Amino acid sequence: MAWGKAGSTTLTSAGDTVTVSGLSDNKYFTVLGYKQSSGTSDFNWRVGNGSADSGNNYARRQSSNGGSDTTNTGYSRMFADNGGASTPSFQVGYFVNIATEEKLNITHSVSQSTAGAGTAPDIRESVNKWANTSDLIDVIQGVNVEGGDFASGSNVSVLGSDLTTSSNKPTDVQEGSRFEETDTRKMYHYFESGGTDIQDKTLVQNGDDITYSGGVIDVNIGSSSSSEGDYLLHTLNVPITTTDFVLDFDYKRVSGGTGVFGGLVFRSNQSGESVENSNTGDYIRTSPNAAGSSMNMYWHNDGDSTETELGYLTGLNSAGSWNYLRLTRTNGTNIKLERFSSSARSGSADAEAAVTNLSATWGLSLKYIGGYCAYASGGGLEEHFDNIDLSSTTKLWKELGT
Amino acid sequence: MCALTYHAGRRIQGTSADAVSGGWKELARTTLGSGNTNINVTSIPDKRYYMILRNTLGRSGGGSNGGYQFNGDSGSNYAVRRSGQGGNFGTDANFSDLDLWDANSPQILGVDYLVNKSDKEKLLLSHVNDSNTAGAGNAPNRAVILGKWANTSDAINRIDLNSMNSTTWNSGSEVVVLGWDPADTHTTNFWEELASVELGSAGASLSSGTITAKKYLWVQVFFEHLGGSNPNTLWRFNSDSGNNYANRSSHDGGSEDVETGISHLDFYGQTNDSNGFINMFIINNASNEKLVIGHTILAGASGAGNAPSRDEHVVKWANTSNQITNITSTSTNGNNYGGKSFIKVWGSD
Repeated sequence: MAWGKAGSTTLTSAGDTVTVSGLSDNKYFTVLGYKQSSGTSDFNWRVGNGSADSGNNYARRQSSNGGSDTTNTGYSRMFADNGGASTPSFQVGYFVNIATEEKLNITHSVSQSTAGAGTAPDIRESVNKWANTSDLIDVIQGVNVEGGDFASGSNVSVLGSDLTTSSNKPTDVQEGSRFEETDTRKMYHYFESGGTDIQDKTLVQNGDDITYSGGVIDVNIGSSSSSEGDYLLHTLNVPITTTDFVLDFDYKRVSGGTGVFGGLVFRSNQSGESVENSNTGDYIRTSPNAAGSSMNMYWHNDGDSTETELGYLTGLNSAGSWNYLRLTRTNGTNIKLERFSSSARSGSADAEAAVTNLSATWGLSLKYIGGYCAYASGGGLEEHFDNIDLSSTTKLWKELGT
Repeated sequence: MCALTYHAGRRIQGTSADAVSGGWKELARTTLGSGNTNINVTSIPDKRYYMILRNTLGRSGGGSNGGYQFNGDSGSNYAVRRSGQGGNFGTDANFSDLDLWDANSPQILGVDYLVNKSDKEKLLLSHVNDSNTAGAGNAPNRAVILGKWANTSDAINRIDLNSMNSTTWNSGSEVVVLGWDPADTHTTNFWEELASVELGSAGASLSSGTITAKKYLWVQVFFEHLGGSNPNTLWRFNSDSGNNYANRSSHDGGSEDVETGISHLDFYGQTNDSNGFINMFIINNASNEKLVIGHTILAGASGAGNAPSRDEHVVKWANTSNQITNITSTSTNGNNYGGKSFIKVWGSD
């Protein structure tokens, strides 16, 4: 980590605030503030989370030109410059930023005073605190409470202590692009997954009880036990190497069955292309119950003898109605299945089934997505899957080697 | 920002990551190779903000004050307000230089900030540690200077540190000019992170661990106070517990507290009954005493109804054979620092 530019705002017209917002989480900030004035103004700090806090949540201490210290408590802002002048001032502030602790500040300020070399500038040395103990600072503001304004050109610049390097690989490139990393000699292939409806891709079919028609995966097992092992497979042209992804899909039970199981399966980058729940490889699969009122999820770790249940997602709509589901993996150990009331999947989910302790070795860097039929001793099951959209927010570049 | 190159066949070439952009960047530096009365730093690019690290050596005899001149302007265009040892601020007006604190001492460390807008007067903030006579028996002096260059037509392109008399600074004296501008996208950061250590759980020692030796150090420390009895804070460099430190400080603008021949630095040591935050700069040459300029805020009792306190420090470690490679605060009274306490150290040569 390193000091770097966390944000900077320069006024282009007169105003009472100069605000830098959207600051990332940094333990320390160094803030440079330069005030130009239109009329009489002063320069004070406010900080906040989401917006600058103008409540009486500050306490402060200052000395001007070496005079005795004065303090204010329950105040609406921190000290910075000497205030009440129509001439520029310059302040350097150091902030420490821990969410659960009061935020502390040390500020040194010089104010120009009357223009010209005949008048010495003024100094204010201050220490300040924001008594908030629940939020990180993500907004730092210079604020004027005098009758005039900050003039255009006034600036607040924030340096953060914990900025990190960022990936240099572009994301506004065509699918299939190749990135040649000159410092590591590695090559990468670009897989554009964001918002892709996988049903637009080429599908591989095995057997005839799972078909793709009209944009819908139709699992229709009928009554034949020979259906077991049928699948309809989409092989992602480039595996997603990230463990973070969101997979939306719509599910509808058309008709119930007995002794039959089928659903969607999401498999990791294993050898072979079987998609049934064969207790081999790393995979996760849906398993709607026969009544169509709930959906269970199972995951399997390669080498284990049995699957592990994620738990039931309850309250599915009755046969004939679509359910709007979302499978989310947010990191190496967490995965959840959610049910939403509309296809927009906005707001909170209506129900959720989750696991938070996946094996550290578990993969599921998605390579295959498909419908499967696992057990068909009974029959009569028909279910539809539609609008299967896969998106991944990071690391869409697949390493090919050196 | 690292450049990407695009080629036929959807081929793209670039490096693995962008470095962090927009830190303080070294713009120019002059280091004396032999004794001289002036240290001139030229060809300075126009940046909104400058941070100047000033380390002068060996001055003796003659007048005591040196000062800045900008763009070679020796006219009566400077004004200064200045305080030494926490005393009253005196002023100079219509001076021919921006008169700094530069006593007849073996060594001076100045850390200056300067705002630079061509159509506005240039404003300077400076904090100084003046080593005073060598040895831990002599506490350093401290000064605060603010000044202006009343020019409203030019951006700064040259900074001269002039002795204003015939006395000279020794070889090795230098002025380093760093710049920061809102438009900067460079990735050449002067300050390199050397340590970032969070205590994690309550403990009696907060240490940087071993750090790479650098000429200039910037240290920031947060102390979490656990309530109840206070830990003490014995800051030491390289685990030196000999009586090799001297300290001058003021609490809440009060009278100077001078300690000489002590076994540790005394930051956050006087009123450490609350969380504290320390900012310090250090000049860290092996053959010279190590000088520290520091400021501290003590949060006081929790809540906005309780004002914080402040300390101003100058310190020296009288070692003249080693660079600092470890910075540690130890509590020896049986009371611990909170687990959220942490120290970060940045450095550069």
